[in-house]
Amino acid sequence: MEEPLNMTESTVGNPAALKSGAERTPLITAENINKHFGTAHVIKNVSTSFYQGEVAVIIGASGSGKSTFLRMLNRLETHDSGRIVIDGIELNADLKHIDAVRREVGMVFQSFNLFPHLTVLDNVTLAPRRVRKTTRAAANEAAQALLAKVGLSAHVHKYPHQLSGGQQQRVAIARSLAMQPKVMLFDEPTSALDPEMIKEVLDVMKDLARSGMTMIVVTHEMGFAREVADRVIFFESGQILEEAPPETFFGNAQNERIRAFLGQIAN
Amino acid sequence: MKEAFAFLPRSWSRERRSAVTIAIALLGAVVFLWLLAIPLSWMPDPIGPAAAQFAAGALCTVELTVAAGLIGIVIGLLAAFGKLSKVPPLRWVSNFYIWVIRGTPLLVQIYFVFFALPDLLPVQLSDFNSAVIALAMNVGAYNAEAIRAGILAVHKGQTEAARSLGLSPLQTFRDVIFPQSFRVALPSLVNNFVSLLKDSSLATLGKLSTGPGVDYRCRHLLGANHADDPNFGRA
Repeated sequence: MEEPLNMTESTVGNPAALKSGAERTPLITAENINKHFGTAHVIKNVSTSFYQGEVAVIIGASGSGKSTFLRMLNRLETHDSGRIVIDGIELNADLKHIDAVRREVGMVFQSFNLFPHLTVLDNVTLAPRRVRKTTRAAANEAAQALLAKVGLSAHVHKYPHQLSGGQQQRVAIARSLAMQPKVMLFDEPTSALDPEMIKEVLDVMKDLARSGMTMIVVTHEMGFAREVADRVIFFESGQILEEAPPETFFGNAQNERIRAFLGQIAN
Repeated sequence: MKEAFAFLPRSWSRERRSAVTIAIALLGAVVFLWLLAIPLSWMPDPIGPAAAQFAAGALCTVELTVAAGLIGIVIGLLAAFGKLSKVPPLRWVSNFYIWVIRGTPLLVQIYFVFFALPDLLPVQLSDFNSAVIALAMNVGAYNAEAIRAGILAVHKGQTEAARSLGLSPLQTFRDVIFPQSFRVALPSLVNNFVSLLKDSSLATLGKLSTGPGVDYRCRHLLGANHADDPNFGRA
């Protein structure tokens, strides 16, 4: 079984790769996505693409639609119109498509959503055993390796409530990685953590990015975006206002609204 | 039972010791019921002389309760899922069932099963089966709401996480939702079971007017009118 978290140097995930983006076929395409919650038009004609190995960070004010858009990528939210294609699979009401997409797309939530009645090890091995029919022994072995990579070997037989927030989120990341997804979605992974724990989670995410994982991260952590992102996407009122590499975005944003937003963030 | 739990070998896992303790307790309960007539016969009039009858009556109560209880759980599960279903007709049927049963007295439901159903159904039910059906239908409606409460109590994020990992709806329910919802629903379900134990006494008020029925269980106890029953008074 190949190592899920590959720590070797990778050419993907650096700005140079982006330049040849036009020749590569996107892993994920979203075309003209619209969504309403009742009368509220929360996603307005959003179109974008994500490439293999890319780290895209989505930022914006609360209520701008960024989490909703992210959740559409694994059908936790449905889009009213438009087309989403992930690795060749069109995301629509067809359950087979949805399940196929969810096997390739992992998600990490703001509130961790660990299974409280299972130990850390069981949390990580549940999905591989049920979905991929891996044997318990093999799944345990793979899980131990993953948990070691995120620094939690000592806590393998503990229950989620016995762990700190940062540890729980790292378990959640390991749990998603256990399914060997092609893309990892992060929905404000550190928003529920206090500053001491944020670093340990961000470090895991940075390692993951450096190993070449395709990541789409909704976050308020600008430092992470500056350091690791290949592309920063700014959401405002349901639309993408600007998409640019971090140097451009943070150094020389064109849009007034973005400059105002950035100006409000301490450092 | 804590004592039994404590005396089992420490080397066994907690789950094994817990399961064995429950098995011992159940076995003890069955043996106690079986031999109930003996301690009862030591009691003063009027219980002593008729100890066998009282023991039989207790046994009958337990049989009714266990049978109706088990079926009631199944009915409760079906009605709970029905009420939570995305399919409107299923929701209507479940809602209607729960509303009617919870809105009418158990006695009325027992009378209905005993006195109205024989005319509506082609099949004749015995006294015992009629009682079980009436009681199960009743407790099932209350169980449905308890089970539904348990399911709704589980945070939506659990389902989202499970489905995001690729677990099917059935796998999500079995491995993630059910274990958590069970803890929430259990107190209410036990309450309902305890009420059922008492409510089973109302079954004595139902008696089929015609036919001996296939099932002779509890026949000397079910049926308010004992005058025409030649077996009344005999053990």
